[in-house]
Amino acid sequence: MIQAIDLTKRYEDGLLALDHLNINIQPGQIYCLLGANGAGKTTTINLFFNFIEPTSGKALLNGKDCTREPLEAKQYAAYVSENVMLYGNFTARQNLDFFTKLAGRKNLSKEDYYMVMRQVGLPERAFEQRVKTFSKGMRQKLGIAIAILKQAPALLLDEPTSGLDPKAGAEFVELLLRLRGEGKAILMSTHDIFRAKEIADVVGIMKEGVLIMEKTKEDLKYEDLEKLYLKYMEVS
Amino acid sequence: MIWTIARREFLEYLKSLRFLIGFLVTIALVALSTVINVSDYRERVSDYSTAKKEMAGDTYPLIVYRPPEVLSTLVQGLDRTLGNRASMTPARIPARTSGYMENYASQHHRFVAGFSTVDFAFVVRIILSLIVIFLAYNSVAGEKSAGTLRLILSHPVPRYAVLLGKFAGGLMLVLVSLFAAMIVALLILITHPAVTLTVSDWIRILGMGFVSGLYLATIFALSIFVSVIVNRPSTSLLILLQAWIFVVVLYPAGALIFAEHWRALPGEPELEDRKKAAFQPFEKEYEEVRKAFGDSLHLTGSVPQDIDLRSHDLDIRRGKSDHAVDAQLAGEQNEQMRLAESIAIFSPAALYDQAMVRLARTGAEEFDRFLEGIHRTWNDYTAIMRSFITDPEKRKTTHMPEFTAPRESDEESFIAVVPQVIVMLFLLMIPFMSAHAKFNAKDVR
Repeated sequence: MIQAIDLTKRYEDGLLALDHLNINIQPGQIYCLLGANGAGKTTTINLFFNFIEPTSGKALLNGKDCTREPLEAKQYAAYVSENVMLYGNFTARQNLDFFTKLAGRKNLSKEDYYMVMRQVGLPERAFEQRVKTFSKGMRQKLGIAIAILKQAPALLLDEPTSGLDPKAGAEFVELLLRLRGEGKAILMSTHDIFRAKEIADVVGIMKEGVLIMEKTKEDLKYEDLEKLYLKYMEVS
Repeated sequence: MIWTIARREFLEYLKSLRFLIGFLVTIALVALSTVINVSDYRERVSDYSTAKKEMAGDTYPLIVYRPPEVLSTLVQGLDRTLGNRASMTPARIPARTSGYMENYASQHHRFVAGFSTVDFAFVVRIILSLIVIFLAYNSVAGEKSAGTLRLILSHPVPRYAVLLGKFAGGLMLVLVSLFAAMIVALLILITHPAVTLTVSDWIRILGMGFVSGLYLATIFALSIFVSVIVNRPSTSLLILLQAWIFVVVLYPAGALIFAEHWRALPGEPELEDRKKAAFQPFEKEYEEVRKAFGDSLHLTGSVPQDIDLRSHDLDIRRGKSDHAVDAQLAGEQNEQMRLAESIAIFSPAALYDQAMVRLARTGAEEFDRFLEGIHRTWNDYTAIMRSFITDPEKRKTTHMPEFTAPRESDEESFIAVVPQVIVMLFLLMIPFMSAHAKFNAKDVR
């Protein structure tokens, strides 16, 4: 569902942000990309949404090339960023309505929006509240609600739990597990080793644009992810 | 898709404080300036009627008047400054005019002095165009820096649809403001007893609305372009304000100054010299006839018909000779004006002004028509005056020709503004297409 084939990105200033990345994420699988800042995690997600163009290689969503057929490819994936930014002067429901229409879904009722907001754990009082009054956790939940309403089979999340308090983080993880249960293919970039170990089916460690390690959940049963991570980070 | 983005954009702008303030200032200024301009118009209409009555029957000099233009209440243009009164004799075809009468009320209208340049066109050109900039400066740069652009573009939305939606939504709100301002101005006009709008005036008002909308759209397109090429909203605003000052103020004014220096007009002494030189071959004869005329009048109390006729014919020759010099000057003035207009062709504000005064019939062209009308009347007037010499009885039965100021037809005015409209469309398309090209290639990291 989410596939990178020799995906490479070199920026205009010469920086090699991503070097021949190869990953393949199946439906019902959570893939966590670990790595320090500048490792190439966000660049990977940017390439899947055609925010930037690859220097070589391919990013595919459900077999659609994200560079050649970006609009078709984007139908198959939803995006949640580290800091979900929404329209502050609009209510949660109005934001949902706007982005759902952009996703091509029309004729949803107020109740449909309310149902999804309940599903992601937003309090009822927040449904018709302006988003500028929301905490980061509430905005992240609304971001997930937008992603759910898109009904895309793939989810790409760029450090979605960063900055969330433990309770909000735990709720967020619960949501992701539920979505995995529904068969979504999920790619999540994160710094959080413990969270990755908790939910990932596959963990990849990136360093300076290169995927230097990939382990499945089964592999990690017998290895300490934290130690592995530190070991790979130390290797020059 | 475009409509979804346009609707959101419209509502976002509508809820912003900067729009609310700008809108209230616009409505207040339009209302205030229209009230003052209508009051001034009423005074001028009254002066026009009184002056016409007071001067009726006078033949030497013959004084003609042009009524004030009703649409000058919306676009003052040159209607007030170029004058509406011309005084002619057989030896003088007026090339310049003055106010109705020095002591008439409209010459001393106390409000107008400090408010003379504020009218509907001014509010659109300055205030609404500034509102456009304050709305559009962060339309793309703001969304990029806030991060919402990434969320939008993570959906299957073509980038052109995002840009077009933003343009349509913002422009819709600006056009609503323009429409509201026009409604306020028109309500003041139609409820005022001194104002009567004809079908022609309404057609012209519609044209003025269209040109105003087009002008604001060009400013909006320029603002979107700047907002696309920079990443920070503050940089976008700074660039746009500087561009606004250049395009709306400095560039048109600079074009005028350049044209004035490049095609300098002769001063009064040079004009007098030209007139003297043109009449030089007849000067001696003219002096002799004037002397014979004076001597006869002094000695016999009357003037023989042959001397009177010769004197009259020489007066006409002098009038025509001077008029030829004045016409040459008018030609030079027109060339200077055309040069200034050509230089300022890339300023939407200059194009807007040109189109608005043309549609309101308050531009220099209307003044030229007035002068042409004066020339035609002068021909009739001198022929009648000559007939009085050959047949004095005619004085009792012949009336002076009724002067009707010629006006440009609607068709002529609309055809005349086509070039300005076409250039404005280009000035709208070029930044929008450039913004589209840039936005398509834009990195939204």
